[in-house]
Amino acid sequence: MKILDPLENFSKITELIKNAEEFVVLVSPYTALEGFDSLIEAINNTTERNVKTSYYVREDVGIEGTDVLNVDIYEVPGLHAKMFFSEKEAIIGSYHLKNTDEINWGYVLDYPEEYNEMKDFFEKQIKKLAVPYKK
Amino acid sequence: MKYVDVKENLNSIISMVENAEEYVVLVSPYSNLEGWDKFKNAINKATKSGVKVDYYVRVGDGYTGIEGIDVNLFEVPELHAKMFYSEKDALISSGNLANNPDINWVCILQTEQEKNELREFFNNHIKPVASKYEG
Repeated sequence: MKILDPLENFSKITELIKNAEEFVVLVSPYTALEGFDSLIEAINNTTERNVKTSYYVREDVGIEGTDVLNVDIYEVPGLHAKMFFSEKEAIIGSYHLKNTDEINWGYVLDYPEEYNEMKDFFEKQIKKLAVPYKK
Repeated sequence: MKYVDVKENLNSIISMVENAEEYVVLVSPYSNLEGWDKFKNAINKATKSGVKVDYYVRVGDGYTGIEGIDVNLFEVPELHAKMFYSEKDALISSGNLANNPDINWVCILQTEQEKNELREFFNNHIKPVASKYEG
């Protein structure tokens, strides 16, 4: 895996979403996308491209800020992990999808074993507990 | 890079502290160490044996929750990254050092390149903006 230049933390996620052809999973306990127009556009365009995007937030408190998104949203109790992946690529980070000046790192997982371990964590620790959010 | 079994998240960090012979760097914007006596004991034992333990928190309220440990405490504005390393081992996590049931992952960095990238991130983005907490 390779650490990202912090200036690219969000642009790389936008790229990952644009490159996806089958699905995108975004795990961000909290959300604040104001000012991230290209990221919002990339997420919402997946629906038109028939790419299934699932967005996971923390139960009760994580819904705030997701009203600009036109994708399937799921709530997970106690969620604090962050990970972003498609069928092709994966990024893990210390950051939520929030437009802030906070100091955060992100890593691109560039080996299949790393991708598989991350996906395994997602399937076992997050997806199992997720409940679709109904507006 | 390898994901830690979630049941071993805390133990993996304790092992890193116990293995250190020169220094330990703990970067946790927020903390709640209450109930983590094994972790606190490991830190205090390291300090007592001459290992330099530096603990970085977020400016403002990040210094609460770390009562009972003997470390060099630093504050960093807008800190949100989490990382824990010594001269030998390195871990990254989505979680703070906080005793709660939140869903978080911990990864062990296995290659020297991965460890060096993490230390470089710390030296470039965290250490230069850190200031000693005087209480």
